[in-house]
Amino acid sequence: MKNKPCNAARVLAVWSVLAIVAPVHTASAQSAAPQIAGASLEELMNIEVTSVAKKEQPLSKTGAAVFVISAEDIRRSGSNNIADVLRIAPGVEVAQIDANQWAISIRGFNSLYSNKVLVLIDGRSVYVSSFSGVFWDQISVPLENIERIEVIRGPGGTVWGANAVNGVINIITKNAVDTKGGLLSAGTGSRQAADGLAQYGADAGASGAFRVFGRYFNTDNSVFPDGQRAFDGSHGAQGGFRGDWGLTSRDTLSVQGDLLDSRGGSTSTAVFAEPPPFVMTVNNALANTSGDVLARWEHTLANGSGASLQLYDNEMDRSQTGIHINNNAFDADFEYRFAAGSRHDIVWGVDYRVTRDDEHTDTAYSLHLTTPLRTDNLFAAFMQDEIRLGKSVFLTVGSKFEHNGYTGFEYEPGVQAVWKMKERHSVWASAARAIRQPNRSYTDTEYNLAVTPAPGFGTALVTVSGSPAVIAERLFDYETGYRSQISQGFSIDVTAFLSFYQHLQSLEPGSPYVTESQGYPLLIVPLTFASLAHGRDYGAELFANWRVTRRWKVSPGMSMLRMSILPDPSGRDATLAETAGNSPRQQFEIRSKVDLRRNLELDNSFKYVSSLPTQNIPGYGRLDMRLGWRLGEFVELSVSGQNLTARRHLEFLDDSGLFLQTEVARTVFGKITWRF
Amino acid sequence: MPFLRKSGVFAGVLFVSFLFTSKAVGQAIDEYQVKAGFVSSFARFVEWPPEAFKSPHEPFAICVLGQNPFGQTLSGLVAGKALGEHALELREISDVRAAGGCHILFISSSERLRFRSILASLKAQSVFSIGDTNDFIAEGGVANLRVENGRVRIEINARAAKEKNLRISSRLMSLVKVVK
Repeated sequence: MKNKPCNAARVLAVWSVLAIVAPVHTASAQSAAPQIAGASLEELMNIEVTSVAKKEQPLSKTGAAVFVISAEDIRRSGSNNIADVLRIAPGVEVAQIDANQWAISIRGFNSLYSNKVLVLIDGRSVYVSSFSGVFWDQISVPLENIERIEVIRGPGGTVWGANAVNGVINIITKNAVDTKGGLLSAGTGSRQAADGLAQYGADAGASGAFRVFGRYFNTDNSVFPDGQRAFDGSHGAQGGFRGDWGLTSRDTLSVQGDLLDSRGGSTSTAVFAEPPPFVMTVNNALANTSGDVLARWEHTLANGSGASLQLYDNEMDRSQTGIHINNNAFDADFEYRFAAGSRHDIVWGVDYRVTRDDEHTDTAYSLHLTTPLRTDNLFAAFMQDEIRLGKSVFLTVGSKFEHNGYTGFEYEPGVQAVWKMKERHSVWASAARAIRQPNRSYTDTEYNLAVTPAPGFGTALVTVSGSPAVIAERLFDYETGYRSQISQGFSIDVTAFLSFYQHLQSLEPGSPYVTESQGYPLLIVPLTFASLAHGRDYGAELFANWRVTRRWKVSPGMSMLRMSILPDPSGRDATLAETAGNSPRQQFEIRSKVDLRRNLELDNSFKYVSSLPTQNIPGYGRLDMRLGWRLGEFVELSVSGQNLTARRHLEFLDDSGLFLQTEVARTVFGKITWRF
Repeated sequence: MPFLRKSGVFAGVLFVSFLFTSKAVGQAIDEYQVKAGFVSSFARFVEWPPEAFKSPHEPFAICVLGQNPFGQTLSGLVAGKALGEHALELREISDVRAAGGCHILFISSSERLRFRSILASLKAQSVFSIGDTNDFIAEGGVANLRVENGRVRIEINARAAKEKNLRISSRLMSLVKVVK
């Protein structure tokens, strides 16, 4: 006991010394440590080793802002959905609206229908073409099967194409060979009433493996700010499989598929079609059936060249808030990489995607689509060249070229330069142009937005109409970053960015007019979607990993964002300046993972999110804790608590009022996992 | 300031975490450096049957199949060394069909989908196969390097070694976990 203060002093001393001498003290990972050569077997067995997790592997050649959430981070987060897991990544804005709806974005523009971040699962885009966003309640990969989540902040259009504007979230699931055996997990808690997973994996032939799984979940209703029970609980079942085969020593084949069926609800306080006063509060049913199937073949050549061919199909049938969406996307993608001489690593690819979107609306709700069925083709190609300039400088240049059904030809070039100053120390800078293509919600929709008092008429109805004149949003982005493995136990990553947006979507007011088509006089204030806004954002993100002791790791992170969105000289949308107030200006987090004993883990995280002035939501802190206990090799028990500091808090509002916000509550969740 | 109060709570939690963990980070070494040390040492503790060498001066080949996780460490340890008359030589191969002359074969985890077919095709050869994934021994590999509590541990499949006519010294056997 008496050595504790001494330990604290030692760690403090180590910390301060590191900060000063770190750049000089860099153990090279390349040559053997002196104690290895000539060591006896016994000596080798006594050397303490570190296993470099995937996320700490040198990203030193990457000229982009990347954060990797590892399987270990996910397991130890105590979260049971992907949205909450994403709170781990610094700079990602994750805010819960009700029990099953989230607003998730990167570098601003957050909304229930965020449309500037591309989300992929094993290279399959899960972004829904009708609104360029993601239904997060449909993204339900069993967390046990996730290998890692790569979060790229900033544009990725050069490789991933339109909509990878402010970031890319790439969820990568485990190879079937790594999930052999049985897995049963069951959990229950104060919000998640039940969550159970049954999975079995085994060999499939001499060089392959497969897994199949089934999952059931049931989430309770949450609570409105006034303490009333909401109508937003959900339950659902899903099943899926993945098979991986090494066909030859150079070819691998991966086949996977999922099916999800879920039922839930939401409450809307929105503007309905009629009659006056138009605004009503109703409970809606939410029903979703979705499925996907994907096959990927990869061929590797000895010199590092290789090709891959990927085909997938997503199908979705969803009803919510008076709209019924049937959406199908088929995608075929081919990529080829090769070395040209000793200096060039070239990747090129072609992609074809066809989406069919069929939407019908209930007449009571005000939304309707001018063309219910729309089919779009996307043709794309990209090429990227990583050029080795000298020993430690890498330059990557490339561009995507696309032809889409809304705006025709688009291109998204980018250039990145990386200077690897030393092993695991690098500085990078990048510049890119990215676009977000228009979607049906800006071209084909008509709905009532608001009701305002109008002297002489009683009420005025503010309506919104889509317009074919909407063009692609453009981003010109400039970034620079520094990442360094300062010592074995300490690494740091810093990024600063400056982004200029053009042709941002705006709502332009037209001339008000009086209609009596409903049998009573009504003043209509029409708004039409246009592309008459621009913006300038800047900010920084910083995170570090510090292994304080062999059994304790601390990971602090923070992000800062300053947004300024304004109408163009010809634009008249006065509400644009409020866009910035939907995203926190600051976020700060610190996570701590402790191995109390060999089989006992204590994990804590604290996250502070600053206020959202537009929504009148004050800043809040979330404290999450988890205690995990392994019983032998096969059984793990865990208890986790989330939002422990406050009973309930609000995180985000859906400004359409279709999903009425509820409060995020303090929760406790217990779980048992059995592998056999 | 509620934010400060919450930060205080968190700082308290961190402090408690700190009290529970004792040992500060020492000069821990990347696991693959130590594993490279083992891979290059095994030659001295295993006896190959005479037919494993076609000539008295044939090099002793240590091969890495698939992605080489050792960086330059293993080649540094092998360079210029010899085992009796046989000069040590490191070969990186991408296909098990090229493993003909290998005496020690490290099979990278990048090949884990193909372990069974790779190990089956090595069945008739006197190759000391080494892996570092959980089921390498179960699939029929000879030796497995596992990290347990921050140390590298060795598992040996005695039956597989015997089938391949590999005689493992008692000194090595006394340090490892024998499976089967």
